[in-house]
Amino acid sequence: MIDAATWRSIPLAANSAAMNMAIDEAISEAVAAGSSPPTIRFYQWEPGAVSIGYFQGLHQEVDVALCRQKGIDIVRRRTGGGAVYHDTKGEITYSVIAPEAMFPKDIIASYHVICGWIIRGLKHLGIEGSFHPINDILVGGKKISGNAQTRRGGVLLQHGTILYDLDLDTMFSVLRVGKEKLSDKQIQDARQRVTRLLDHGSFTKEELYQALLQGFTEDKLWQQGTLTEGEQRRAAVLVEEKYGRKEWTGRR
Amino acid sequence: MQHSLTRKLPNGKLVRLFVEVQDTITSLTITGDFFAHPEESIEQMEKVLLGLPKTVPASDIQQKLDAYAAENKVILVGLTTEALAGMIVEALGHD
Repeated sequence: MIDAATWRSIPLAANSAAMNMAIDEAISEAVAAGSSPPTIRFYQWEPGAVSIGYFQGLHQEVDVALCRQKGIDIVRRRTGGGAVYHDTKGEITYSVIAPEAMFPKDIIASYHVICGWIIRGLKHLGIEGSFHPINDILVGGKKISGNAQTRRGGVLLQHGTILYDLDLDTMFSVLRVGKEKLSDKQIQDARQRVTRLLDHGSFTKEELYQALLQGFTEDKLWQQGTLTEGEQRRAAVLVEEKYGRKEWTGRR
Repeated sequence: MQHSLTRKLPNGKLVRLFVEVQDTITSLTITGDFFAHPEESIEQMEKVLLGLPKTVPASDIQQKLDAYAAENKVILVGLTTEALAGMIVEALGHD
């Protein structure tokens, strides 16, 4: 029997893009089956990667040839939302995977709840963030965190990034938003709409991780945990059959 | 003929449509950075519009989308059936 009242937190670890998305889905299935507790996971992307939203057209959003040349992974998420460049060193990504019943039924209200944990974490570093519906967190009016959610089989999955020291040049070269849709002036504007933790003080990545961990867990019963063997096996299958396949990544 | 149309919806997300028309809609793809729960509902909503005449009014398109959404408990976030119907008609109007 699992203790469904105690959250599991899986410590910061780096994986390939396909494996990161496969782990999220494997945990979601295990939570839906009642074999894993509600889970918070922190992770990074090694190598760096672009993730695109479920409904986005791959070639409309991403310079695929440039990604290949630079060794940047590309993966389609099972959540909607926009394309994100995940710099290995430049951000921390989290996932929250838990029974839907633990959250408000209203989607935006549930974004607000989980984004509130991030805002609490930032506050531990002395930084004031605010929730900006639908799915962003702003600091000083600029986006520091983007988030995306899906609900399936009674389980809510929300994942998102908190920017630490993003390489904006690479980001705007691999994402087409900086290329075809926008004039130079608009690219400048797009850069000015994004901010990173390091724009607000001198913090280590570890300090950001600890602050986020505290922000996410301080009102919960929780313990550090790891993926179960079953989740690891299922994630490996999902890499093989779904997230690592071009049929999935290029389906739109 | 194929048409595409991109719009950033007011208070919503970016939507890019790709529509193929002969006398009727033969292909439709709705892409963008919006959210839909469950996600497969967008593929299904594309399908329910196939075969509609190219002169179909927006109200008919919206009615079909709303009927599908109600029956399948679809939740759209950053996107509305009204905005979609309007964009599809606008894309068809390029013919």
